[in-house]
Amino acid sequence: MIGYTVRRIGQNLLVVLLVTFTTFFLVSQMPGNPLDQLLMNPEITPEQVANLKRIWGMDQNFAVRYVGWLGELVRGELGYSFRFRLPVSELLALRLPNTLILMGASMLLAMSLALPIGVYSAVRQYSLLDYVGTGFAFFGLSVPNHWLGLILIVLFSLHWRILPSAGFRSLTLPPTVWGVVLDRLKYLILPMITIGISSMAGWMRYTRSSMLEVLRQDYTQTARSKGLAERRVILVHALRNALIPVLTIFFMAIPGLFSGAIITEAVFAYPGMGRLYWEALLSKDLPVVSITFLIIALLVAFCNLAADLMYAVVDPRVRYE
Amino acid sequence: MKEPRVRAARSQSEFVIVFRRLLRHRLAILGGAVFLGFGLMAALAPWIAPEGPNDINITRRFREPSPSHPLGTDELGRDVLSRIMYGGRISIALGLVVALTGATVGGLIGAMSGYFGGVLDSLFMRLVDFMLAIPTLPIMMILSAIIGQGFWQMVFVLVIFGWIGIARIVRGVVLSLREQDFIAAARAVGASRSRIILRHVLPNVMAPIIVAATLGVASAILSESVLSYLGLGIPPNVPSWGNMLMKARDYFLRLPILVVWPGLCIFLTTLSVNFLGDGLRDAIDPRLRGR
Repeated sequence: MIGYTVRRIGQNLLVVLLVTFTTFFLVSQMPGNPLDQLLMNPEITPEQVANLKRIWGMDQNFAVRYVGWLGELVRGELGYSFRFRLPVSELLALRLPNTLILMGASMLLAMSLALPIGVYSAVRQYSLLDYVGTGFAFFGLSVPNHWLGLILIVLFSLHWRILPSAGFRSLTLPPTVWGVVLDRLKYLILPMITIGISSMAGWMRYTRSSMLEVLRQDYTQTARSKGLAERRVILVHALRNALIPVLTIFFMAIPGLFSGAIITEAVFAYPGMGRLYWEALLSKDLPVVSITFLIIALLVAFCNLAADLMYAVVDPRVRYE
Repeated sequence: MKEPRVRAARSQSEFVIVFRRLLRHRLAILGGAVFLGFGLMAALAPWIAPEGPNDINITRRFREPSPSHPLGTDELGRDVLSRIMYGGRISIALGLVVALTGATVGGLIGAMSGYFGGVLDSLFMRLVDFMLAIPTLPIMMILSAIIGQGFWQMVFVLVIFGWIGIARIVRGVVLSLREQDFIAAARAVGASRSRIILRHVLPNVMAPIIVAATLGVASAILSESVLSYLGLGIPPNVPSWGNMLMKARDYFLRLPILVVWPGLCIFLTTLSVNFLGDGLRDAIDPRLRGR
């Protein structure tokens, strides 16, 4: 297991290095130069712009700039945002927690609905709830996130006026801690459903088919023939085995949630990292684009690693590939 | 299986068998019919649409749906039904082109990887691993920002990520085929390498390619709508379902119903294509039914 872990981590580091290169390369290919707009200002001479270019090292060749950038990253210097005139690290400290809260909440919601419904529809296959669940799963897997978000806003914010359509908290904070939490939750409900619905649908189907598989196994029959209560057979003997593949799927779903976060944060004007990335891309705020992209990519790489290791823990055959 | 005559008879009717099984799959047929309907609507738009997609008339902005404008009018007084029809041309054509190109590229790479193995295989598979490790939507967004907006630019961006799944599937099938007796038999009777690939390998990988390509149509339509919604897809002056949705969002305080139509079209087409793809998969390989 140790050898496998080391090998996987090594491969991941290589991927991470490639990702930093890809990021830097792509961002350097973005059309437009942040200094061009300075030339519009009659007070600024071309010489001054050239001087700035030299000071910021923008006249160096690609390899030098890449290595320099990498060095700064390693030292923890993430650069300055052109648009916000703030260090990128400060922006991230504001935005990243919001995204993690959103993703965490939606995963919690998805898991807590997907598992029970998945188990139930496997145990009572072809029951009414099984059909409802199947229909819901098809809906959840096919509905476009951004459209679902807009429809939820139209219904809950415009029509019934019970939930806010944008933002992440009220302007005036409630006095108690519980009040603050409830206030955040009110703003989270719609975005959380919007992001979570497709993973919920996927996990539900996966739990169902995994459970169906396990219920057919001999050891489930053995448990039954020992005279155990059906409840115990399902929850202890079958479910624990059925959960193994579901857990790895769980980790593999996280990268997709980042895409969901970009779309959802755009729809709900939720100040998270996805929205930061999107706006930075549209306004050519290149330092922010590269760092946010890199962070998303690193988190994705980390999740893939976690899924791989998880799988190896669960299924020892994987370790000897 | 021992007599060659039996095999030939079976492989001839394979297509018919699959088609019969598909016909029994009601949801798949319904999905196919709905998708065909949308496709016809889009293809015939210039002849059946009540108005042009850019017929601006600011005296009739934000009209509620009515008999003269069944889906209402938008912020420039354009007829939304007509724009939906023309928008379908872009969205569906994009889906089909991307799926077809992705399937061709992915099929070729996967087949080569699986058949030849060795250095080529490990090179392709490292590339696949790497591309799977980077988050798709963020990198598609950067690529769009770099190469600009437009139909073929979109096709390019989507195909870059559209071949990977198919390549992996095809590689797996080809790898297992390579070891099978009938390939060895073909080699033994002196069949050329190209004959083996075209006559013996290709027909066996067509099934998974067709299924994956069908599902690829849905995901391409969805990706188009997301990128256009974020302002990084089809340019705003061309109607596509994605950028109609983006525009509708700006005005949904004035006329919320505008948000419904383009999204509903995206939803119904992707849903119907997914049903069709699922039905095809079941028809081709009945063992997978119910998964």
